[in-house]
Amino acid sequence: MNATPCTLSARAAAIGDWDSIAGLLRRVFGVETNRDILCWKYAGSEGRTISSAVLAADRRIVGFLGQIPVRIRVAGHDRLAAQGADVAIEAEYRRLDAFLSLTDASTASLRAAGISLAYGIANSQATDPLSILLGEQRVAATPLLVRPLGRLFPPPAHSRTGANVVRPGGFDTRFDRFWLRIRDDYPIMLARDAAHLNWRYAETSGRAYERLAVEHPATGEIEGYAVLTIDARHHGRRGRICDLVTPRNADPQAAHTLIAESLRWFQSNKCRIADIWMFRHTHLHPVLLRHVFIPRKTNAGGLHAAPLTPEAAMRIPGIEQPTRWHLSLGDSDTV
Amino acid sequence: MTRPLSSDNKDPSGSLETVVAAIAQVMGPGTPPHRVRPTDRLGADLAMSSLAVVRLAGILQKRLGRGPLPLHTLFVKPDGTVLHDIRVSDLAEFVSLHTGGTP
Repeated sequence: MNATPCTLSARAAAIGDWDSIAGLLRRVFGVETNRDILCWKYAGSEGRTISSAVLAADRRIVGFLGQIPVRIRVAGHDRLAAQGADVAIEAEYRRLDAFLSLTDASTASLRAAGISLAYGIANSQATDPLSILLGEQRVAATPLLVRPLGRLFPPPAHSRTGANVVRPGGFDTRFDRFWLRIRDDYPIMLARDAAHLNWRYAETSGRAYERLAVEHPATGEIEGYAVLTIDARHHGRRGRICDLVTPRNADPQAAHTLIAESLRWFQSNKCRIADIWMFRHTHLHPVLLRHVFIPRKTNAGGLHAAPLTPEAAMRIPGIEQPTRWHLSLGDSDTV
Repeated sequence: MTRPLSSDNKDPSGSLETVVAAIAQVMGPGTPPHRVRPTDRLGADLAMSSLAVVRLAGILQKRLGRGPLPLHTLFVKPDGTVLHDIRVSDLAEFVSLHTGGTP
């Protein structure tokens, strides 16, 4: 018994592959994308594609495994890591050896680049192959909270807190200083320096985000920020808080201000619901509950993470413990 | 990269029969047990998808009355490299090892 004979070979993705990969994603997922979007997405703030891989059958690209290079701060050290994103294989080649070849090519690139940690937000279909076949640990379910909007659930009225809310066009050096202030608030956080924030939310290709920040009234320094978007795929529009960051041990007023301002922006854009990812152990969770965000049970899937070598497992302890993580929607490629 | 085939095809523990029956169950009527050979590779020869192998793992666990089998140790080597395919006999050996039998 033999499957369709063909020579499958996996290798690292190259610059010349992006048009073919865009075509593949269109055929497999029905999503419209292009070379510019893919280059932006998979180069990350590092500015280079490191660990994405393609699968070729007779020189035609029939599979793709996308990984985004990111920097993660783990227990006081910045590490280059890979955020898993798209996995697409054409139906007729969707075989175990194709999946594992792609995975191996990507993993080899990760190791060559000195990347020791991979993480991702898996959907319900990807969870079992990742954990059962590759041994990746499921750290936690997606920590979703939702808040209805509309006439019955109006956002809070404007408050006079003295906070100065601004809408920055990009993220300047004040955000680097803010990152230095908060970077050890949780043991595992994506590095949210200005370079990352500009790549993720300002210098984007094909995506639009609303950026809010609270400035200190006297010094002008950043006290917190939020990044919003609207997902028009859902019936009735869904507002999404991609990122909400304030210092862990600071007065929660900045968080209240950002959440209230976010809800008003969603309301003015006729969103009927707002959502956010926020783990229960974080300081922002109780603040969100006060603004009528409701935790929702999510289906299979969620945060997965894996050290890539036994040495990495020794150097990066505790990645399987959800309470060590800070995770936001923007730490995935969901928004 | 494929695991070497075991040199003998004996099945003293019955693991091969168990694995073949489970594969036939996953693959459906088009793949009766007698068509599955120990030398067949799950991906390249049997055209099993990764999801089909996940279902296969579930069936094996149920049949063997066990908790999760560390199936990933078949695919991911200690140095982190990933094997591209395995043979039916490899899986049978793995099952035998993890159910207390002698491969």
